[in-house]
Amino acid sequence: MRASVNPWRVLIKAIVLFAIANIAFAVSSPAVGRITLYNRLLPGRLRFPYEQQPAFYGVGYNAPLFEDFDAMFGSHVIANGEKPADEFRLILLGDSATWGGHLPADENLAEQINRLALQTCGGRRIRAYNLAFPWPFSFRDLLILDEAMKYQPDEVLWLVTLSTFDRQNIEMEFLRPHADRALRLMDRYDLDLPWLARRLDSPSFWDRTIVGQRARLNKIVRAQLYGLLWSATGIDFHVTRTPVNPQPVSPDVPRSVAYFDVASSQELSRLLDALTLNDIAAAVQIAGEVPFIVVNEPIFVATGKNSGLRYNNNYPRWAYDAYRAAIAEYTSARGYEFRDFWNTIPPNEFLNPSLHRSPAGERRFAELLAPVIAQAACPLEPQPQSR
Amino acid sequence: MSVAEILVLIGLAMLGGSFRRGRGLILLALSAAVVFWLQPGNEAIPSLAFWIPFATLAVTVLAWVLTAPPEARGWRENLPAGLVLGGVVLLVDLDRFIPSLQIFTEFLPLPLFAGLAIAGVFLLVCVIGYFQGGARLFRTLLLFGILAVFVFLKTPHLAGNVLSAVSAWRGRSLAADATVAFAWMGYSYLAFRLIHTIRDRQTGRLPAVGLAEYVNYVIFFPAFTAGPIDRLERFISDLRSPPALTNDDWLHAGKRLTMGLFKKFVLADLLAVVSITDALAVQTRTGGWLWLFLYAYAFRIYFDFSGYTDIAIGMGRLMGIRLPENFAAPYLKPSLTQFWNSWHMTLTQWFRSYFFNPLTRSMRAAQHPLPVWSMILLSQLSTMALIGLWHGITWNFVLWGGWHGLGLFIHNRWSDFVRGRMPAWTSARPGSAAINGAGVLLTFHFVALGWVFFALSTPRASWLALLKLLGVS
Repeated sequence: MRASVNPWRVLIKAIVLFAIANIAFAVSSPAVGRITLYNRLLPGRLRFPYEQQPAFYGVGYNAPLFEDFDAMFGSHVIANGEKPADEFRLILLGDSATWGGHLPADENLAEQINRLALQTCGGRRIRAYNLAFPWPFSFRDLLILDEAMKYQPDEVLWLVTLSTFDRQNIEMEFLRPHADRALRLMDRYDLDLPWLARRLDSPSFWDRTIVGQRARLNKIVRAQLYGLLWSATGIDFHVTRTPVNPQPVSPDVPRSVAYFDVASSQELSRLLDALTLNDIAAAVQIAGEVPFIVVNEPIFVATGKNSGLRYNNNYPRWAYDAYRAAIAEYTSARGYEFRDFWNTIPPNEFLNPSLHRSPAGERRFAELLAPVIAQAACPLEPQPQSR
Repeated sequence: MSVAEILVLIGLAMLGGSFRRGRGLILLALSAAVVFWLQPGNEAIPSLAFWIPFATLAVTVLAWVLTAPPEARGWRENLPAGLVLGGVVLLVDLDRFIPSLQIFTEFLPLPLFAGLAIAGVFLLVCVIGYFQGGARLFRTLLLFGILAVFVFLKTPHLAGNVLSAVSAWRGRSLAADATVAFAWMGYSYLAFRLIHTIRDRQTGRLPAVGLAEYVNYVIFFPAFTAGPIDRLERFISDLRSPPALTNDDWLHAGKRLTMGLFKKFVLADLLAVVSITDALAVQTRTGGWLWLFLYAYAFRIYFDFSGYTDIAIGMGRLMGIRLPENFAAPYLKPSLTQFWNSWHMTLTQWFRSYFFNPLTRSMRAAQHPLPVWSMILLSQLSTMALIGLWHGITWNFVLWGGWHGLGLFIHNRWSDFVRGRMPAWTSARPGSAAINGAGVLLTFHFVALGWVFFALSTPRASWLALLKLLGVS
């Protein structure tokens, strides 16, 4: 005769086991993000997974994994095995313009550079990797660069704009899961960022349990499934499911000369004081021996109504000009490599909204960058070689 | 339903099962309250979130009056159930006075209107009870009324368009992009149970039950939204037995609930991410990937539905009610006939009882009966087409039903053909296992291809997907 099982004992055991599993998870913090199908069963993504809202995850076949760098980098093609001996590894950092907002994955800047089939003087093929992440935020890029150094880059291009260094663009959602890492980085490179540091708290014990981490774990699992859809369709962003919006950007801009809450050029010093240009120095230090080039990326330059006041919807002329001068002076004073491409792409090669470039614009920008890339790859020969 | 809602329902089930005395009335009160709680809001006419559940209760009470024999309709025995139902309606309505505790919809009517509505139903019950001579006519009218509402709800956009029009007429403008949906929570299963009792009453097979037992059967909350579809006589035998729960009951319930939650909220929800959709059918670059997404859909729909069934069975067990099984490893069946005997079993049994068997009997009894094969074809096709239409009145559901009807017919003819003609090796161990395995594979793929019609929205999208799957495009 079967012995009767007491259901309350079963329940208590289940609760105890669940508690033990949570405590063990919190204590050991296992690198769950390293378990990935990408670059094993599935091709790695050409850019980091990103979607603005959970409602779009299932439409763009994509879920952002920024809470877990193991998972985020693990899903990227850069993590596909050992670096080949014949590869000159170029990484691009930046915001959505570099990530390729409004563009299919294979049309973004890194892929346009790869299409140029550049080679170093020694015959190594130059392979560009898109490690940009949407929304401009310099400190976020430092964190990505710090992690990216594990992947042995030979050259780093950091594509920046005024917004990149705007202190107000703090993406706490991105930073919060990396609070410890961020504080370590500040400490290591003497970054005095009290306004940022005071907003960073290490996760509590509860936050580190399975229950506390359930959103991250859920996204990691879902991201593997979205990998199947990405492999099957080549789609990795909801905007790019439909053809690129062909509507031209309006040449007119608003009459206001304000840059967000900075009303006018009267407050120039407030604007400049708020720029986080010191992050450039930290980035150069993180890159170490690896050639590191700061690139002021092209912006849409309006030609219509009020274009004498503003370059575009984002930047009044006075603010942008002051920023350009400041960054040029900062990099020049310290001997950092800096290239300014601010007005090199014609207005008709920008997409609506004017922040992102069209495939033609990306192609043109890639061609403009080719000599810069080659200069680092072949210091003695400034011209790129094409296969 | 969300996990939180299901956990609340499990808690209610434990509460309901803990009462030994007055269990019928307590389950009645819980089920009636849950009917109001689960009803989604309505953007066009917000007060429908109250009136639809009210209509569910009202039509159930009316169906009872029309199906119960006079000896089961005594005032004394049924007054407590009536008071409980009326009390629940009024208590739900009182929620309007506690805005911070908004359990039900925020658009509750004035208690006066709720009271008048209850009085109206009471009056109708009295009138119908008085005119018993017209009960047969009333039953038929109710039957057609239930079917008419069903068609209204299941025809895409029909209910939504009517709601929009009514909303506009009342001067209430909706957002331009608002999708007006008319959701009557649990109507499908409500209709099945009501039709079952009305038809059984018409054929004299319905047992005599009181109001509490009848309403409990129809709106029993674990099975209200997703089945299974029990039979009244089986349900009340459990309801009338004392609910002394043993350790085995608790363990069984716990196992089914855990399994159900895992199937629904882990397996089905994850498979949903990679299930075939209209968009994926177009975007997927190769047929191989599309097969994968089709398999995902096949398992997703199974885990989703059988997960809900497990949860319903588990909750029922906590209250001492053993709901019938709905799935029995359907994808491991070696023929389509066996598949349909193990997929959504209570639905197929319902259609067998109330459509297939009567239709077949009437065709056989005809003065000039059709050839056997054509009777089988007609009955299979029409039954499966109706099952398809039950999911929604669209061409794709008709095609899905037709696909299965044709499959069942072919299997029936094939079985007849090969009977006695199979070589001896097919009945020996390795041969029979191989044939069984091949049958499982073939049946599963037939069913999976059928899901294309079910998952996609139009015949054209389905056709293109089938071509891609077969490597033709």
